[in-house]
Amino acid sequence: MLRRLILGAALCLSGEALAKPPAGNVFCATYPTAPTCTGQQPACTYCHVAPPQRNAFGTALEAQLAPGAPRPLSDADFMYALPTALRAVEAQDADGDGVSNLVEHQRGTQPADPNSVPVETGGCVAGTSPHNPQYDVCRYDTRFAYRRVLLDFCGQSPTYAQLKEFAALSADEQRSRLDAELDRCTTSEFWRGKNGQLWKLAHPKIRPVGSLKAGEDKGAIPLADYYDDYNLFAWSQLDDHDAREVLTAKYFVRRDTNPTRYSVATTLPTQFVDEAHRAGNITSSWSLIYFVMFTALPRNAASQAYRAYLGLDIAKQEGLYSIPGEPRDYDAKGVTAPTCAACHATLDPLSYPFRNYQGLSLTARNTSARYIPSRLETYFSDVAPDITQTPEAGYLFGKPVADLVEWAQVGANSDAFAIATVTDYWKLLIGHAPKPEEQAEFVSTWQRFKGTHGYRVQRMLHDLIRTEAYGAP
Amino acid sequence: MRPDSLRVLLLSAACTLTACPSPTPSVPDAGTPDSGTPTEVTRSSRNNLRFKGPERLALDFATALSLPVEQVCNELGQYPCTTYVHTVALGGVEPYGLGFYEPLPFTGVTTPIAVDRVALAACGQRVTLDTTTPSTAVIFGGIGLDAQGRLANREGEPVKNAITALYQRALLRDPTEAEVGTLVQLATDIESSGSTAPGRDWMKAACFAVLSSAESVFF
Repeated sequence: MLRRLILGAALCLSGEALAKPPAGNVFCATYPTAPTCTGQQPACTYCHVAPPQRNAFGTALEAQLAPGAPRPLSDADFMYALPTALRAVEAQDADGDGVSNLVEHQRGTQPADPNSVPVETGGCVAGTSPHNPQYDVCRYDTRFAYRRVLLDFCGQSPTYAQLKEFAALSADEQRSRLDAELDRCTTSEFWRGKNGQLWKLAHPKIRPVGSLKAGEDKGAIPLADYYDDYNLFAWSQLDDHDAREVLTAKYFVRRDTNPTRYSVATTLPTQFVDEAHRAGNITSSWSLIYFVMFTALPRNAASQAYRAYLGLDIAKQEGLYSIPGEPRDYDAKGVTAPTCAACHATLDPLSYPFRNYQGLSLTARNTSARYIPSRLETYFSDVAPDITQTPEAGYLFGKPVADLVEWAQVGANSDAFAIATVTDYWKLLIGHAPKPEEQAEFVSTWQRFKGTHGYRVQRMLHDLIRTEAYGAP
Repeated sequence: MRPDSLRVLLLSAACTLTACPSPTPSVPDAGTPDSGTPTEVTRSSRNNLRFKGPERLALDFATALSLPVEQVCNELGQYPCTTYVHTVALGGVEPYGLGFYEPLPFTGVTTPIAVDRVALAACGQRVTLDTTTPSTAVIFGGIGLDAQGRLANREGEPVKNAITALYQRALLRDPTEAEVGTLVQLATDIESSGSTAPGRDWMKAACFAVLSSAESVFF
């Protein structure tokens, strides 16, 4: 975490001219069908190594961007000039990989990375010589998918006899068997149990620290029980539950063992935020104590929630939506400096809704991990002259939100949440983040997850194991 | 057999099954397939094999050899290889103590060594069980040894049955004739290496070669 903060700070302090947060909007207005614009926007790294340093594509673009006009360009001038500049360099090949910038936009590859080029998959005719006796490597192979489903969800391969039996089934029967095995294996301990696959997905979101663990497996300095967070996360991913409730739940989840079972609880002795102010895991005791900790304006808690559940890492220049007039620098950290504002114009309004959520208090321990209506006024008034002016209302994705509960609802209903959720499973089950050549299947999967499946992970997984990306050897 | 001799043989056997290039650096790889690989197969354009990682390796090895998963491999006889000692090297995570929240995106330098440790330990367990209680043998049942501890009949059915069982249990397919021949030939190599228990060493090496092959540890 510290490394990411340092990196983020370094990026924001690194020069006088910075990436332009409106650039993503303009790019996507110019190329609305580009894969990188489907429910998202290109990160600043599309044109920059780290702002203000431009990569090969950004350098080519800069030469065509309002030539002769004095620098720095205002946001308005920049937005006006960018489409023309983009078109002027379409035929060029900035990274020298043999693929024009335009084709890279259209295929979802990186125009500044010579190793990122469109890849053609398939391209062979199944059943023709040379023959692969094991699998049909030219397309989806149900035998291959069957082995993967059992390994991915049950944790072990089928037996020789099971594989033989599967191979003898008709195509329809094989598809039905795949679905049945997926449903069976997602009840396994390997999938849903403590430290199982779902818990692995949750580790980077919860970021546990064993020495600070309270309750089961208690550490040396027990501060909070993050197993509550794992339980809610797992619950939200299982059966026919709504995955958004990891961010919006007003309830808690307890876990029983042998076998592992999760069940809803209206209260837990380890959780203290009142029901009206709960927002799933981002208001859990662990999240508040560990990510808010002692800070008045909990930027760390906001950026972690943004990264963990919405897939947008501000330290990597992702998800920047500058709010006019921000940052206001209520805590007098100097973030209004132009070199910082590019990030903090997004980050600070993202953080305001956390202003009344107490982290860890050593002087008033019974306030820790609670919603305190006048928290800044009561406990942080000496931090900076204007600290008490910090509003509870903030912004998410450039849109106003009244408080953290609304922040969580807007976030949970966003494309970003659906993309982040499906990306987690794509990485877990396919082994990498979606590649450009997999974009069509990936977009279809997250759009159906959000639409047809009503954010039910179990249903989405049935789609995912049907993709060529998953089942083509 | 000296440990380093066994190691060379095991490596040789593993390379036979995994199509390792020649260890001689001055000889260019002409792309000639080894005897265990079909001459031509359709190439996958996706190139997306995944490493099984600690839990799946342990479960698959346990199932293949009919061992309780907790007996597959324990360093010094007491520290579990896949859930404790070699977890990170095998692509696992250690979130609570080390803050290692996500697996490495690639297999590391020590990953093959850790896989070897796990496979060898599991195979050692199976061979010991099969040779000490032949009536309940799972893989190596009915294999006779002569007075020097060698395979009494390396061309016999029990040896072929053992090889077939290894392939079916670990790789979920039948061995080709070439693969059977290669593992039978391994017995000759071990006997000529000075092993004092060549029959048992063959069982362990044959098992190790199959379990540690790329086909076994990737999916």
